Amino acid sequence: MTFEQPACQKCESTLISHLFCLSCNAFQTVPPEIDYFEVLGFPVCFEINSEDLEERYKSLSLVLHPDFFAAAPEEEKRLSEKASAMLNTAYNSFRGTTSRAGYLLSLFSKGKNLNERTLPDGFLQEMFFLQESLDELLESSDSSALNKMNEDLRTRHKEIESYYAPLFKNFKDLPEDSDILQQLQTHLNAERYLRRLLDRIPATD
Amino acid sequence: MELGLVGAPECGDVMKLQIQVNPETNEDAKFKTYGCGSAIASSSLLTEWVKGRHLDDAEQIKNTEIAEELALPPVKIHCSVLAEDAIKAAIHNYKSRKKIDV
Amino acid sequence: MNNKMKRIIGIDLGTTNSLSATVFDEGPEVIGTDGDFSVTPSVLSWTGSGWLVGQEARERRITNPENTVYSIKRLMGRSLDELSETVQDLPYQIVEAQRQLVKVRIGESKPYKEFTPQELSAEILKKVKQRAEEALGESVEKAVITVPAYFDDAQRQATRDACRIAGLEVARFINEPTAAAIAYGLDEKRDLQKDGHVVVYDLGGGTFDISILKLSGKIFKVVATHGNTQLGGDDFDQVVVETLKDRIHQEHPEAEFDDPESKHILKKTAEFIKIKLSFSPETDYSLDFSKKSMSFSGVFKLEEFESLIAPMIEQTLESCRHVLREANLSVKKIDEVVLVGGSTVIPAVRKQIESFFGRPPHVAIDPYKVVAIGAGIQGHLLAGGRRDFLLLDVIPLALGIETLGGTFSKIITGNTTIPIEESETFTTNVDNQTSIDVNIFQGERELIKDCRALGQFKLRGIPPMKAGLPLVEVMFRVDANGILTVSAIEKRSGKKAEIEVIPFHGLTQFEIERIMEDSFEHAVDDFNERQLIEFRQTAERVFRGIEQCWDVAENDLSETSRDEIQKQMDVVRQSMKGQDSQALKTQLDVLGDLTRPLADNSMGRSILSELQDDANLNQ
Ligand SMILES: Nc1ncnc2c1ncn2[C@@H]1O[C@H](COP(=O)(O)OP(=O)(O)OP(=O)(O)O)[C@@H](O)[C@H]1O
Ligand SMILES: [Mg+2]
Repeated sequence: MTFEQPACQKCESTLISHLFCLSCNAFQTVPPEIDYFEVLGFPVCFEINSEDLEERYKSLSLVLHPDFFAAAPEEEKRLSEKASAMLNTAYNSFRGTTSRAGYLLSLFSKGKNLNERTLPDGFLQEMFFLQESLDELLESSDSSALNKMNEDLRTRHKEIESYYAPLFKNFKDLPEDSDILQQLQTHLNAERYLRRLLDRIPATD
Repeated sequence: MELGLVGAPECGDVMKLQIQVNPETNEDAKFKTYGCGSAIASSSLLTEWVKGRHLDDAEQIKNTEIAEELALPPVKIHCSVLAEDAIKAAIHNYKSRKKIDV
Repeated sequence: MNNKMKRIIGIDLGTTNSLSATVFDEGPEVIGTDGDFSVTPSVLSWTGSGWLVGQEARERRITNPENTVYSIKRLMGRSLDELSETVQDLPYQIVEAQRQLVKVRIGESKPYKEFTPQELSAEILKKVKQRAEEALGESVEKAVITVPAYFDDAQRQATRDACRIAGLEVARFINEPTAAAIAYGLDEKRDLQKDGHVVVYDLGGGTFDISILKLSGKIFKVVATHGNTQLGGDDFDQVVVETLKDRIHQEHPEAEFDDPESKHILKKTAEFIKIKLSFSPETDYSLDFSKKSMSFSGVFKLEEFESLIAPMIEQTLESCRHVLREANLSVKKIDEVVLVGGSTVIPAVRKQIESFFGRPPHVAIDPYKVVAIGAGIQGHLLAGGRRDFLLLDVIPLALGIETLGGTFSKIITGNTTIPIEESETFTTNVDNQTSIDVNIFQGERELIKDCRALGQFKLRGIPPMKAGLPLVEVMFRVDANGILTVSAIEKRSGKKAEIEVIPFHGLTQFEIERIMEDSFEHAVDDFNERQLIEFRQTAERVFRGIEQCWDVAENDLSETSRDEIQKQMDVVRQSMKGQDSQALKTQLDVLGDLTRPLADNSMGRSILSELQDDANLNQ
């Protein structure tokens, strides 16, 4: 996939985000299937520096947000609300490592017939067992054992999240290799189970 | 006592279904599901349906029937698939242990 | 402010007090006429033909208990079921109306007068608007209105309806703690860090909010918010009321307090005790139930008060823990803590916050004013007065639908930055089905019985097809005001499905119009009469104020000034007996000018002195 620099529909200067031209302050007409990379103006790539993401989100918000169009004609108000909503969705999706990986995988796997339900061997049994152990721990209110479990799960969760970047890199070199995408899918599925477990553990301070 | 342990990775759901077969009928069924509300509701509906049914009958239960009964929206259809998978897995385990050809 | 720009004021529509603010040439400030106090108590009193609002109404709590209504904000967008506890403590009557709405009933017997909370809230807004117009000398049409961050969609819609009834255009709803953060963050004189995480802890009269914001440059981004729309100073008063009742019962076992007068007296004394205890370790009190010819007095100790409110403070700390977790932050990552709301004056509250966050909180901007000032600054931005900062707020609670027998499926998660749009696809279960019902809920729990029902859509006009084939995409849109709207389209045919939203707690357009017509008629009828009552009460208040500081005046004012004041007081007394409201107003204004040097602007002291006053009257 290549990254094309699009031009403003009004003044033809190069666009960063496909939503809005920062040179002439014009909203762009965008197709409904516009992707999050186009919204934020980043090349299609898994690794996005979080500071760059923050910066981009801020600078776009500072021009798109409905607060700056309160006195504008209805049509422009509506466009700004729509564009802001898209920006928020894209930003939220890219902020989380897993959600960004999931989004990118969904772009890459279009028309590729991946099995969306794969899990590592024996994983389901283990998850069921962990869920039951968690039931017991929560009931016994044994806080040190609970903390231990919390930490273990977190470590595993981090580990899973560390697999995405190298796999996406491999895929860049071997774009025909669907097996890489299948591996990613498996990790994403496993991540969801771990997150479910983590969500059940109450906050401690 | 036969077990079916299945998952719906779409939501991170996991379901364990236990059936008591005697001799060809499901005497009783119990479930334990960790997952979203729709998964729990699907599991609970399934156990109600399979109780007292002949195995061959129970095997025929389709996820679409469950989805329809519960009016699941498209994004939650996998929860009904989970329930169908569970009863299939449990019966499969039972049959393979009894060495009945499937 | 340039001429073309139309001013947008900020209004803090509080449970106890309401006030407005705007950006003047000198900077943002509360709007108030000189010498007169700028806060409007959120209290209403029915005169038989119309409402008195604000200070005048507040003063009628004891003399006119059954017709005096306060804490309306707690009723907004709520059903009788949800309000069962609150209702018992209130001296006025609340009855169930259609569609789970509640109404306030005035009158002992038929024909009753009944009012929705939206109408009553609108009366407060009208008063605030009118006072702002008088002070600014220009008409006010638009406002930024603040609401508790934890208000759900039904509560926000109810507030919007109130604004409509009051004839105020809402330029934006913003959340109270966020407004406070703006006021602090943009105040150059303050040494609040320009980048970092700020916690705003807002404990007012009726609501509690906690928000964590990330400040970077001039962007105020709310990261997470939590709260309780039914926890505040009112509840502190209530625990004191219960204690007072117990004490009285020990001496008068047969005493009952269910009548409006007793409820008002108890509430007023409780608030008096509470406020006194913010400044001293114990306080005397006396209650005089004149209708029962019973009186009672005693001493209330700080220790006892603190143990009474401890569980409620703990509840707020629980929210603090929750919000930190939501924001994925530890206490150490918090750079600043800002306190907002009258109830944060209580030393025990401050102590607990300080020890929880491990740092002294900011309290420098008057905690009563800071929300209104933030709203005023936001109004200035919306009016185009500046564009160098931006507020990014969130929706407090998830929005979603009932998917099947009782489970809640989230479509937009809580703490998502607004505006936001999400869609969900529905299909049919039966061949040729042409409509689908969808129930909308808001909350954070798994089951809909633990969430708030907002309304129901009926999707109509789906083209007949086999079951499961139609794909109806339902779009949930939350605008920058935090208010939800819904639209739908059938994707296979491209046909717009019609959507009919049946709100469970809101008013219909028709109802709003009817209320507006009614109130307009009233307004014309009773204008003079109401003004007369208002001005007479103002006069009495001014007289009491003058008497109170007359001793001081002996040093401050010249002999001639004092004579002039005395004479003018006589003129006003004469006018009070007449029927001409405008004449009375003119004489009062003259008196106001003469006594300006005496005016005292500090709110804490003014509440105190007024309460002190009432306590004296009771003795
Ligand atoms: N010195 C004080 N000590 C204790 N409580 C006080 C003090 N001063 C005011 N209060 C209480 O603060 C509350 C009013 O605060 P505030 O004006 O901030 O609330 P509000 O904005 O009307 O309410 P809300 O924000 O909940 O809608 C009342 O309950 C009042 O009794
Ligand atoms: Mg307030």
